[in-house]
Amino acid sequence: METVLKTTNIIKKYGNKTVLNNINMTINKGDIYGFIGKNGAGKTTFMKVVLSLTPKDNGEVVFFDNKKLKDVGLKIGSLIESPGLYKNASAYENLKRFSILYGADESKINELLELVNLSNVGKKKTKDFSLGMKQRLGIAIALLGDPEFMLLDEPINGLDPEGIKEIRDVIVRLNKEKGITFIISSHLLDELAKVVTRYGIIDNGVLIEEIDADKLKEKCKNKLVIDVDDTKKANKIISKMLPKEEIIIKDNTIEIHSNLEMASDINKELVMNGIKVSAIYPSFDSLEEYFMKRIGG
Amino acid sequence: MGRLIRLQLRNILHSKVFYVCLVFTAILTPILGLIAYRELNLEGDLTVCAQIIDIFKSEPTLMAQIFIALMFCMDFNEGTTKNIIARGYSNMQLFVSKCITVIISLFGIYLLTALVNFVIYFKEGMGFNDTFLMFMIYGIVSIITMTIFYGAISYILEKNGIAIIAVLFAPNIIGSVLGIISDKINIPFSDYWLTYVGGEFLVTPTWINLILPVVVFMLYILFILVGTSFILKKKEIK
Repeated sequence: METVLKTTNIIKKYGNKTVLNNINMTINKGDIYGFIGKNGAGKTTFMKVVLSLTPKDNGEVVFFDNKKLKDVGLKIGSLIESPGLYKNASAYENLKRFSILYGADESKINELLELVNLSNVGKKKTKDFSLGMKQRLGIAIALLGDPEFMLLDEPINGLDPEGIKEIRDVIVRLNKEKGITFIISSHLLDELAKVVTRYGIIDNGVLIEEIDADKLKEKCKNKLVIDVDDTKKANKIISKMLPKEEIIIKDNTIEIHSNLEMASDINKELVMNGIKVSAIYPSFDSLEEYFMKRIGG
Repeated sequence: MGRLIRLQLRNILHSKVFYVCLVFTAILTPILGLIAYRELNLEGDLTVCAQIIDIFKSEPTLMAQIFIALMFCMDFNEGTTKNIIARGYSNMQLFVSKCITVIISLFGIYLLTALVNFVIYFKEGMGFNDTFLMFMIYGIVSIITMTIFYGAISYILEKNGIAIIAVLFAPNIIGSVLGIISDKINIPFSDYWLTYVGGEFLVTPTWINLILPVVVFMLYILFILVGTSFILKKKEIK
């Protein structure tokens, strides 16, 4: 599989403080890589190092199987922190100026304005744009030159639910239709979970885990919930099948934290003993809960 | 680099400060000069070339200095520097592209100034001579050097306000400090400071006197470019 980004032993220090500590990250073609971490964990700094916006103290960054940024920069789009816009110029003029740099014709500019729903703003200066409009224009600029890889730092920050959905839809469409690979950092973990195919968790400058979204889903599937009419009796029955410490009783439900594959056996046993089972289902940790557990929060 | 230059030229052509500088330097200054000559009945050489020499004798105008500072800070001010660097261009390439485009636009402004002077003073004659040629060479090298010097200060400082203050005051402050040190240790090295080095040529314009400032300006260009490239390697883009 083609590697779009590979970083090896990235170290970044500010004075004595190490903000990135030996980051080894691999992003494969087609991934939507969710980069998650607390405020100040090092997400933005890492992205800036990758894009040479911040000098690193050690390590190597390569794109598209061993190429340097200066050789493939035009194939990489980015939106880091707030979008960089010429504030006294219109959306069209901003795209026009950057199209000189990234290479894009008139039809591409109009296509991008359509894509991010800014085709009707006319000559309105970007300094008068809402946050969502600026963010969408930032994404359009990042898309100039048909990049194959995009780095988006908090792209949905400050957007209303409708704006979040619009950005999310654009990302999914670009990934599916054009095969663009993404790395996206966000605090809105549940929003991120709707699009991401792979995660990287960073804490205090250390990349503590990289995991596929499917595997994460499996890991988060960590309990079996059973709704019954008589929890006392049900507990007695299940206790004969499983260790007591794995069983938790809450109102009319019983939670089981191991041997999830025994769901059908447990159900059968309860029914045979005259207990009414109104529901039995596996329950998932949210991404947020999993993330908090991983960083020890 | 070609694309960067085209982007910077478009930025300049869309900026108000360029047109303010253009009108002030190329149109208002020659007209105000003419009015002053007439009102005060001043005597002097009113040929076209003599008027153009007057422009090149002085350092870049206040407006030109502000124009340079604002153009070099523009992408930092707008937050667009990251859009450029993140696509694989280096800080130094961006700086050099700004140097080239600002120098081109300043020459454009000076060319228009020369045209305005031509229109105003044409009836007094051209007055073309060797001195005019010498001042053209001095002026061109001096404008390039001063633009790179002011540009480097502004690019490193990033912020409009502080860059303008530095550009307006730093050359004279540095010159004065060097002058004091020179006097103390009795070595006249302050004569080689950027704003003083052309002194002898400006008083006695000869081909021989032109050599020193031109060579020193060239060395300044080299020194500023090497120094700036070293500083920019460590620069963080916000």
